[in-house]
Amino acid sequence: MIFLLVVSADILDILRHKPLKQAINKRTFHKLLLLFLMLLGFVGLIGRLFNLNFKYLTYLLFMCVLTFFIMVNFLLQHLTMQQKFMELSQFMLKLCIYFRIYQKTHLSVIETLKDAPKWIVDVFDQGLIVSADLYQLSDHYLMKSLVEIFDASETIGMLHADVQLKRLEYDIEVWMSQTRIHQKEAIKLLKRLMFLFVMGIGIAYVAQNMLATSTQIHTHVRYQWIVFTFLGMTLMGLLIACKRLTQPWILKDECL
Amino acid sequence: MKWILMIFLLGFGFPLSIKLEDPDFIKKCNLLDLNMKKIRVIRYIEINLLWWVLPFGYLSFIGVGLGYYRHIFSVNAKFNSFKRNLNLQFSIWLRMMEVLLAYNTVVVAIGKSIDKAPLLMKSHLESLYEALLEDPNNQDAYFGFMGYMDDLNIGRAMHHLYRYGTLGTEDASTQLSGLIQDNAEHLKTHRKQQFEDRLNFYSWYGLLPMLLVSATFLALMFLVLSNLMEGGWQV
Repeated sequence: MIFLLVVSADILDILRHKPLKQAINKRTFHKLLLLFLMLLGFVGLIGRLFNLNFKYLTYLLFMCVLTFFIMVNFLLQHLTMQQKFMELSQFMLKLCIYFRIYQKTHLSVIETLKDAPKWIVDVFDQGLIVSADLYQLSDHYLMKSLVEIFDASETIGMLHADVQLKRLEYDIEVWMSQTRIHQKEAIKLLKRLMFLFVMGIGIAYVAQNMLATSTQIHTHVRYQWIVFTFLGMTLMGLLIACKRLTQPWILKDECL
Repeated sequence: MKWILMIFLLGFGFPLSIKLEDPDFIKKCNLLDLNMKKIRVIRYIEINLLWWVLPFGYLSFIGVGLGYYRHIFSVNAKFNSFKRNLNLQFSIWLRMMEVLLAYNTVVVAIGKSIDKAPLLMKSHLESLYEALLEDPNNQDAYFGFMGYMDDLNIGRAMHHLYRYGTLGTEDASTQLSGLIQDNAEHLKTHRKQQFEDRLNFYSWYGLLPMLLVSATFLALMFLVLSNLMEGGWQV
């Protein structure tokens, strides 16, 4: 019940947006299906090793199915955010370079949009005021500074634009590298955490085997309940850890 | 004794807790725009409830102490978060000012920055802009800008802006450029700090698997022991 309460919001999110249906092609589907079957087999094996009875094993497998779909959803969200972040930062960098060449915002935007991703092009299709579109694209302070430089250079002149743009390009590059390093570190720590959970299961298995030598506890109802709670909590712990993947790549404090 | 003290707390708890308030606490509440009256009433009710519920002894005194100090800790935490946020927002604003100062005078740049300024600073910037429109060399307006925060970075930046705005010398310009470089470093450090705060979650969360195993082991041990002793001790 606790598990269902914790995951209910994520399940509703999956049902509403159907991210798996949108993002998965045939090859990825086969890969995910294989992974899903492997995970089911692994959880089933653990259930057998811990001598779980049929009732609790079914509950555990049901939890495993939900956990798998929610985790894939988190992973997809993470990948989408990564892609959007990279595309946005590259767009800003290209815009700086084109503005140095053309010295006009509208022309620079048109040139940059030629090889821009669809979601960025869509934003510009909606209106004719380029600055407003750029603000709509992102409310990060670097984007606002970029628009400020464009506006000032067009109205006053290009005297300081080159220095300003070079400084801004450097800031964007630092922003990109800092964010990517952080995300890599977060993934590394998540993998380490998963290893700890697996280690935990291993230690619990050894412990219950050791205790089972003194008395027959496997048939006890309380034993079934304790082991099921432990494995369920482990699944829930993994899920909560994976939820950190859905944190936005752009820091909220840096947006204006 | 418990009831005598309870009557004392009911009668004099409210004015006494106000009397004991630190001026710093009141200042922080005012800065954060918190409702002092509400905090005082909640604190009074909490203290009395804790005194009534907890068994008389050390525990009741500790409970009342915690009930009183809980609000101070909470306001301190809110103030620290506000200050950290303001520091970052000031750095972001300064980054925008850097761009605007390349094309405008200080007063015009401040005026133009208001629209895109962070929310926490908008009202203060408006007052500064109005004061500078009346007298662009108003030293007090520059130095008094968010003075209540007593922040070194803000003070230093406003000092440089004043020098740049009024003297406009080569030296002031070089110093301002130094300040902007420091500001860029500050923004980088702040971002790094925020990312590290996010990662800290994993180091604490890493304890969970071990806690789960320990709890399971204890529960199984208890089960084994209760199983072994089911028929009573055999001597």
